[in-house]
Amino acid sequence: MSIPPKDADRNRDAPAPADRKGRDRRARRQDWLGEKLRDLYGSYAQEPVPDELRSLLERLDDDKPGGQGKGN
Amino acid sequence: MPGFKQDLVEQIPHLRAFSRFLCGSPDWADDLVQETILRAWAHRGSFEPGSNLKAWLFTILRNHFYSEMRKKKRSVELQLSATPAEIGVAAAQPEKLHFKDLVREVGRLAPAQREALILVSVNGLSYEEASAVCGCAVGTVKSRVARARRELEARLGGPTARHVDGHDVALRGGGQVVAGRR
Repeated sequence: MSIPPKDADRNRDAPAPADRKGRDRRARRQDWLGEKLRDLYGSYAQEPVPDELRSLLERLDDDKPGGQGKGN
Repeated sequence: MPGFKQDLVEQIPHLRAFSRFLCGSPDWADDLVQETILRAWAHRGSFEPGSNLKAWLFTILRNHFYSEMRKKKRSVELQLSATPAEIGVAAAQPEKLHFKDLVREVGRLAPAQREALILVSVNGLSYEEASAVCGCAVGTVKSRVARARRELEARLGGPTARHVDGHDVALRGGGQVVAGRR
């Protein structure tokens, strides 16, 4: 019995069940670790900026725009 | 270069987080960020508008980090003490946590693996961009990210805790890795 064209296309494009399982497992694994790492990264990024850093950024204003600032 | 300072300021949270992952110490991380800002500002004329500012800044920061490492022979073992921010996240997500475990295990990775992992898996840089930041081949970045993931997953007892180097691996309370022949 021949397979109708529509089903044949679908079968050709779809990954084999074992491949699909492996891919799903890899995706879950990456989300799990990536999510944990992003949470930790976010916690670092949200920490208050210390005064020394704020002061440094304010001092950058003393430079003329487009110039080669201090330290050159 | 109008707007450069504003763009720089917007990247500071990323610089601080990336730096923290690299060196582990909050104080040292902020020192690295300060130096990065000074160098970026001094050399802002060499930045190509429209290119990836974050990657450019990360390159400056990591180069300075490794330079300091060589000079001072400083340890890169991440600190085990959780910061208030880490504790805050842990409290908000009690089902996930174990940030202390994560910090400890990330700190045990080789610095090169750690930076590749953070650049690609957290910051979303492409392998090509990460390879430019790290000054190595794209394939090297890929293998470092893959290896870092495998090691972390095995040590943290994640979904792939099994099948590591032919062993079943699980994580006991306290972070002890237990391995057994499959």
